[in-house]
Amino acid sequence: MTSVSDADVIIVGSGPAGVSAAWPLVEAGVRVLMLDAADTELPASPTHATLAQWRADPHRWQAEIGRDGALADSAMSPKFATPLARATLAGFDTAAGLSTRDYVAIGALAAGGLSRIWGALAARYGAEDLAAFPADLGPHYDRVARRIGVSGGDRPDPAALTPPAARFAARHMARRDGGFDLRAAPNAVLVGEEREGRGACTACGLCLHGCARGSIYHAATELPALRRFRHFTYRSGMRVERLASDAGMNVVEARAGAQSLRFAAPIVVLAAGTLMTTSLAVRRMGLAGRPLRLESNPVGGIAFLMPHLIGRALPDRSFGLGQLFYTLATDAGVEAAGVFYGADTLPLAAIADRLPFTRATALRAARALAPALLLATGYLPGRFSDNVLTIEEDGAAGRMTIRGHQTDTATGLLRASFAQLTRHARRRGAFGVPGSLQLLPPGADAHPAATLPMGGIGPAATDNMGALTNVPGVFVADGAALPFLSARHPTLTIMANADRIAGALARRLCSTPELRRAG
Amino acid sequence: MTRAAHLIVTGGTGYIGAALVARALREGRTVTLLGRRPGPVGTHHVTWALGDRFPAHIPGQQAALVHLAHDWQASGQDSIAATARLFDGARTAGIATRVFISSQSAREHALNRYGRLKWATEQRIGDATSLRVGLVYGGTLTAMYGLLAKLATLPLLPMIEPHRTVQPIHLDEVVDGILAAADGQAGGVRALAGPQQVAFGDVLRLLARQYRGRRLPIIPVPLSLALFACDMTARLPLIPTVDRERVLGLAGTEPIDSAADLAALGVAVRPMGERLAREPAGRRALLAEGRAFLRHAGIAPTPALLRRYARAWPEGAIARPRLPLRWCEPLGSDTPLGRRLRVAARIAEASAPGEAALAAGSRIARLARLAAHGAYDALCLPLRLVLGRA
Repeated sequence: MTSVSDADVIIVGSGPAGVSAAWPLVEAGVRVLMLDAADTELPASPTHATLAQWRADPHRWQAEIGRDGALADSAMSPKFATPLARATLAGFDTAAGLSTRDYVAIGALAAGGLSRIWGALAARYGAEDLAAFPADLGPHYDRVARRIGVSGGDRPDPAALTPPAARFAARHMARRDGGFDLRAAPNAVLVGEEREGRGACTACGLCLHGCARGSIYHAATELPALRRFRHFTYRSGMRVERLASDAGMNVVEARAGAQSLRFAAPIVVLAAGTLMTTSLAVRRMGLAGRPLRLESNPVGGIAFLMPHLIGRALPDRSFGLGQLFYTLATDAGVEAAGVFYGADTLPLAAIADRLPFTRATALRAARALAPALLLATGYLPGRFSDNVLTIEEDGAAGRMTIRGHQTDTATGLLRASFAQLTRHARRRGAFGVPGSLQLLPPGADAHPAATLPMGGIGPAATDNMGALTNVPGVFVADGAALPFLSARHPTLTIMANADRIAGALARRLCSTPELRRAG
Repeated sequence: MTRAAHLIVTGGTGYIGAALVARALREGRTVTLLGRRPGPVGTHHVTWALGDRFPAHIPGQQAALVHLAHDWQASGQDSIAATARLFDGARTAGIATRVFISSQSAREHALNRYGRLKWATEQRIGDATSLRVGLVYGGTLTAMYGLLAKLATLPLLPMIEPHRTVQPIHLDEVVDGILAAADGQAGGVRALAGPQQVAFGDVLRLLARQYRGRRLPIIPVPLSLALFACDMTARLPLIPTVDRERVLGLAGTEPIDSAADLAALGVAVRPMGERLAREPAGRRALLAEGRAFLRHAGIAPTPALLRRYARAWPEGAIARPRLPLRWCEPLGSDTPLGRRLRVAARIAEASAPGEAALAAGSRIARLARLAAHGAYDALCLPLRLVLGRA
């Protein structure tokens, strides 16, 4: 079979990395074909104006426990236990040929990828991490942040926060103790401005179920704007299974239902999400069977209580995403980072299930505690993770095995950082709830990365441009190419890096005379 | 293979027979019942008794004979001869497919007479199909199934060799198999029993749990003692007689490999636990559980909320404590009871009555109610630490 060129560049994946890689290329006039595995619509998000309306809706149970009762017995984090999250994550394990041990593997086939259910935290790496990064991300952070709309990131404004976070922030600003930095969470949420297809946040508090207004950014919100370019083609329902080469072209083999398709282009950009991208790249490089290091952030969560708020009525409006973002210089000299959330937008079960009371009491107690709780996550840098990913050839789509392991060092550091966080919180009027500290298993942070690190040593690596070692024309633009995971959420960094790689690629392609420029 | 548009059935009013006839009629087949009593509307009845010849004037085209009747009183030789006479007559009448319902216990040297008899009969029916049926459950609470369901209600069950395995198969699945055999899908001697070996004690425990929501303590009894007890029941007045034959039938069943035969007959056998949950008694028990648990979570259960609860548990009811749930709710969610109570709480919370109950009153009133609940909880805690572990 001879392959005809379907585009100058094929991008695999429509998540934050894929979309960020598409913009510089499309704007430079490069013909781009984006292949996306999504083949089903995701469930619609609730359109209630306020949390109070939501709580009063007799049909709310369909979203909270599922029509088939499937969500009723969910031991998962409330973030993953919604119909939207389930639909977003559905089918990934099978498509990836995934098996895991002591690792929670999270991936999505949906349009927009995991950003459909992300926490929208758009943090930049710290100065030290950026200095170690093999390229300058500064201008690319700015470009991406302008594109997606990022609010917060600066001094917290108590007026813009819900009561427990507001009180916490006010008391923080009256203090001065080093090593604990607190800001308004830099969220990819439109506040006080509208954009095409996206409305401003109204603080309806239903963030958990997906934002019906589109105030919370996800990558699929950018697809309509991209698709207006005549030289940008988007094809959904394409599960990319394998990469090959044919007469100097890179070939992408995809499956759409029972049909097999081949697409060819001089350049392929992989942005299918770290796990899927790694599977495609490693098999293309002929490195199947070789164990790869897979970074994830050691992660945990803890609850703080602000006693004077106990028993307040649940608010009509609130905000379900992160409100405050902190970084903590731990005594061990490691940076930890995390986010403070309110608990008043969560289903009560998220709190009640952890309480040792009998159920009727637990529900009442959860209801009384919800307005008074501040929940905090805490992340450590990915270098403290110890996971191994192995890709194997098996049929067209391959197979992947992940063995997760949390080292005692990581567990110790995580515990120490939470102990330190608890001390800082106590001075700000928030008391750690005994027994609330929970250390999550590896992978539960949903930030797998750095399997094909830029500038990495060994054959399974990429260069500073994200180009795969020894495979001409194949670039990695997602988390797989990150050289390391900082303690801070990596999504904005992945997007900035994709923007950087694609920008350089666009410049290179435009200086190539034989490239047919789109009219 | 031709579809048996016309079924000629003996024993058509019995446990399996009635289900077979009802299904055949639903599928648009015509049914002739051979027997003493007429059957349901829509069936044709020919008066006949075991030992009679195959009735004349029954059209043999596209017809199949299914012989379910069994005379527990008749002598062995009479019974075998009667069946042989029926099958010979059916063949002469041009009925191509003849199905004999045998038993999993059919063996030449079976412990029980029934098993030996079924085996001997199989040798006398020529090229007819024989289905060796396992332990059948489901449908109306009669026959062996009815007896087991009744035994499962006992507070304590003395049982002969509870570890001996049986191969349960649902009544609907047996009917699937009989109709497939009647349609000529597979001939010869075939096992129509569940593919899985289940300890007989577990079958009864499953029934107790899924039909009654309770645990069933079983005391193993040696076979010899059980037979002695059977003899005693026969001699003592005023207590029901337990048939020695039934006891031997249970004790004498040998495992058979049924997977290939089930595949040949096209019968898919689901696990017993899953099917029991959908039987009326299983459904009732699950709703009763939902009612108790939702009440424990603090709301009055409505039918809609109960359905919501039931939907979360396709595997049916669990054994729940007889004591008040506040005394024995486990502290964590790592036991089935702990998990289910948490699910009930989720359902309660995400409901209009739950929202109303939780939001009612001023801040002070709500906190006072919580304090009262909490105080009672504190009193119950020592009990829960002991009882909640089970």
